[in-house]
Amino acid sequence: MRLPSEMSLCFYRVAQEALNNVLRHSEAEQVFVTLSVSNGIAQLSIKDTGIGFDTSTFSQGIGLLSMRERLRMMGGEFELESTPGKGTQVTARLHVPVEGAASQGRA
Amino acid sequence: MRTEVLLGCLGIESLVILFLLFSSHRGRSANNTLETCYALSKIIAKFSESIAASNFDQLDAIVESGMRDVLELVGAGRLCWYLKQDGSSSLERIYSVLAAGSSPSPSTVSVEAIPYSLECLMKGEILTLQSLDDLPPEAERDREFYRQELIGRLILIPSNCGTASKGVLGIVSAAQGANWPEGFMSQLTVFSNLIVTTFERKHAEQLRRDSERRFRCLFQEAPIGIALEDTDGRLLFVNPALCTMLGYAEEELLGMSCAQFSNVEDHNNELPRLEQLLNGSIEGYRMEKRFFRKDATGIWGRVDISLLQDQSGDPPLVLAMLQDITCHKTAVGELRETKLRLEKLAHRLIQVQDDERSRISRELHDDIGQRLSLFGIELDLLGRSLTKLGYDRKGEQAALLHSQVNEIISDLHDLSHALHSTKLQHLGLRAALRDLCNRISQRHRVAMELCEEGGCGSHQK
Repeated sequence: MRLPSEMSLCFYRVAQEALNNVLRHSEAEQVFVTLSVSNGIAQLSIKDTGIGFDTSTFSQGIGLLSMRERLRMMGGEFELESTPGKGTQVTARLHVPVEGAASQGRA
Repeated sequence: MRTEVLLGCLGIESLVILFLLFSSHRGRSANNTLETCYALSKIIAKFSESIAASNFDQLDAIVESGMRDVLELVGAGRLCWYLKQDGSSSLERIYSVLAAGSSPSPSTVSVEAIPYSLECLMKGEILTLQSLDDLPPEAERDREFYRQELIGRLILIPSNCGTASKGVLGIVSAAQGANWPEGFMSQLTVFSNLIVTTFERKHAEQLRRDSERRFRCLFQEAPIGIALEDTDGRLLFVNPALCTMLGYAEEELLGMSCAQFSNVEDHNNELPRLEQLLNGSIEGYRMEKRFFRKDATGIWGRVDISLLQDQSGDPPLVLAMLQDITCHKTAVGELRETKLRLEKLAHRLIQVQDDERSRISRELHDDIGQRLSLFGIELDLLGRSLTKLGYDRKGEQAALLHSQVNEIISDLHDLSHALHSTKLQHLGLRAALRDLCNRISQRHRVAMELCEEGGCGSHQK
């Protein structure tokens, strides 16, 4: 199934931004990028095995703000989870338009 | 201590004590006792009638007048009425009348001062002392107290009419005298009971008045609007704050229906909940609704509605409390608008950023990239020509420059790709993500794993 171009662009930019963050801050040796479409919801997650950070104390930068706003613009959800010493995971979720949800193909 | 235990056991909250302290001269002789009893019964009958006919403000004066009549009849020095509050360690003097030349009775009497007497009274016994010598040896404390108070002869009669406040009536003389007849005692018991019931009536009325004053004060001074309505929504009572909120005078609001100044939609939304309130399925509700002021401007109010039921069986009243939340609502609305504007701005910025990235990417790829490619080809050709003409070193330099140009072209393509992925455009998200992961794993020491639906397919290092 092929996602609409604006959704693809949204996910692609989130992936770019999240991977840039991984390379800049995480010191991770392994990164998992997962893309799935199920029950009308497309989900992209980028999970690393890096140093992580305390989400209650860090200040949100432009990159994170941009990811959040992209998802909000598309009516989707953005989640950031991180534990010091255990890595970080960002997840983006979008509702796939109904007419596209019926067929399963390449994204 | 014995007395306190007894008080607790009996659950008696208060005591009324009537002291009759006779003047030092001898009392009336036994011969005119019947006459005195008859006169006393007339005083009590008059007292009873006066109490029944008087209003709250006259009660104290009537009690004291009745006590004075009794005082004069029996020739006592003083007549006092004491109350013991529940849990209090002393008796409090409430009423007192004195014969000329008599010293006043103490304003309070500690329960520890007369333990023996109190024990008798708590049992409902009348304590009759023709002299202080009649007290048993264990009543030494009582005797000492009465001696200090210059009491020679005393009768204490507890009230026994079942009121929450219970009392005692007593007779004493500084000088000893003859025994009082039984009929006299029973009449004084009736008198004591009348004082107790009068005191309770006054106390209850005082509580009611205090409560009413507090409620009136709350109603008048409350910063929130308060209204009492009948079950049809007609206003019966309104407070000044409500009048100010709605811009009406009190006389205008009384008799108006809530629906007259409520937003129609909000009013209709409220009706089912009002129905639930009236049929008893809910105890009250809170809602936000719009109202119209007299000048037709609107306000937002938060209303709390509950039901006021009374025991009389009359239809219940609806109690409405209204808080003006117009400012809050306006601020929330403005905040929402500002948030929407900021979101729109952010989204516009993201779109502009994407458009600009695409444009710069195209420029880099189609213009600068092409020109650099051409430049590289020419450098290659130049190098080959120079080598052919025998300028080997110059040819090698040109070849080196050519390879450097190719590196720049490769970096340029990477930059162009980061700005705008042609793979995303032409092959879709999965291909673009795969390409992105490949590029990162090639340039950095990070293992990339791209997991797709049904498991992790590609694995690049």
